[in-house]
Amino acid sequence: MHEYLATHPLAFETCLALVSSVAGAFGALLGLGGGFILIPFLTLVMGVHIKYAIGASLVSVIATSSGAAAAYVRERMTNVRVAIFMELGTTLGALTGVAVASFIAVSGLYLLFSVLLGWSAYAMLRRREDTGALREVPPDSLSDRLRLHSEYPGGKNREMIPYRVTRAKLGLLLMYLAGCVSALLGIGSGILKVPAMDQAMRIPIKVSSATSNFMIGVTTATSAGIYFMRGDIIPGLAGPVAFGVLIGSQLGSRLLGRWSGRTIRIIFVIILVVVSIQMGVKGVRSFE
Amino acid sequence: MSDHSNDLRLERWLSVLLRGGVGVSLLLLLIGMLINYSTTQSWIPATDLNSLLSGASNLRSDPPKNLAEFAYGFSALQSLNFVQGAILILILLPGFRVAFLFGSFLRQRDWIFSLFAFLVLGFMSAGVLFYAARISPERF
Repeated sequence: MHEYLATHPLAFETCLALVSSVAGAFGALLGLGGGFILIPFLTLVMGVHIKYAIGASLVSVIATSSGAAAAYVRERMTNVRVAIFMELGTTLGALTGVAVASFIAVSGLYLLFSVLLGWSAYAMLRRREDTGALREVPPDSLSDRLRLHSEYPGGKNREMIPYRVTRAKLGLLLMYLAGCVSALLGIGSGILKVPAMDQAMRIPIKVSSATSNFMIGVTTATSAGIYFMRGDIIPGLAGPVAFGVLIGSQLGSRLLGRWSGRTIRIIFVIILVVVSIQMGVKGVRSFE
Repeated sequence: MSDHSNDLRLERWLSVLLRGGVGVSLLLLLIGMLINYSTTQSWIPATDLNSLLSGASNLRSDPPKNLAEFAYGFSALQSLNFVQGAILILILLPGFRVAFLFGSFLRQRDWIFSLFAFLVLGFMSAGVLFYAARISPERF
């Protein structure tokens, strides 16, 4: 199979577009981007060098973000005000991460974030699902002042459910850390953004996922631009990836409205556990 | 106009911008694919593909340097230019999205969120400059 694909560009591009559509669908559904499927597929299954796999993955994150956001914003699933406020933290965090990368030993960070992600998975699993009524959250004057509260089509018949946002300052701090860590460790920041919005700011899981989707494109655009200018984005990889992901993200954005918050939460928790284990293994190996 | 209707209007236009960008990008990708299927062109030559799938790390694909080069590639129906154009639009779209939000918040006289959007744009630009400074000039 691998040998056949290596000598038939069109077959390879078609196969890659199909895998990317699955990555796009899950990326859009969970607010993660799709790199968590594409990078292992390209490097472990297809034998592509990590540099080009990352380039293709950056394109997939941006394509998922824009493809899904087009639908989510129209459906009022994305909280645009929360997104722009939180982007302050993630973009500044990413800058900080890049700036301090050469001064920090990341091996300890891998282990720390492995534990944190494991804890996030546990906390997310324990959290109760939205019942449809306006949930009580601790009052937060900053969220009130910035008018971060909103509503989303989360009812059984997609009727609008109001929700209130809380702990905006803590959310901003967590987004700063998410941006910093994703730049330092090279992991997608969606895996940290969704739990931060879900747990700290008490934003419904569907809104957290859609808002994360909106934000990841902005966080990724800078590095994608650099990869593109450097010539490290190979069109034979990035083209089929972009095509597949754009189609898949449309599908994923439809599923978000139909699937229950609990289902999305369980899938997200599984991915959190897998990434937590991966980071733990990396952390232990880096000490060897 | 109330805050709520302002927000609705902003979201409607933002969705139009995103759908427009995604639509143009998809269209360019489709044209590129059609050219590939109907001619002998490919987004990656067979020899490069073989190297790529063997773990090679010395491949490069320089994008057109300016709009004139893009225009020439489009008029010559070079499928590579179509896919590079599509990728470039996707990469620029998040920046356009934040710039659009900046303009919209300014128009609404929402000074705090105008400042937030402006700062995000600033951080994004600083990121580009920071990376660019770390890359040797001959790579551009």
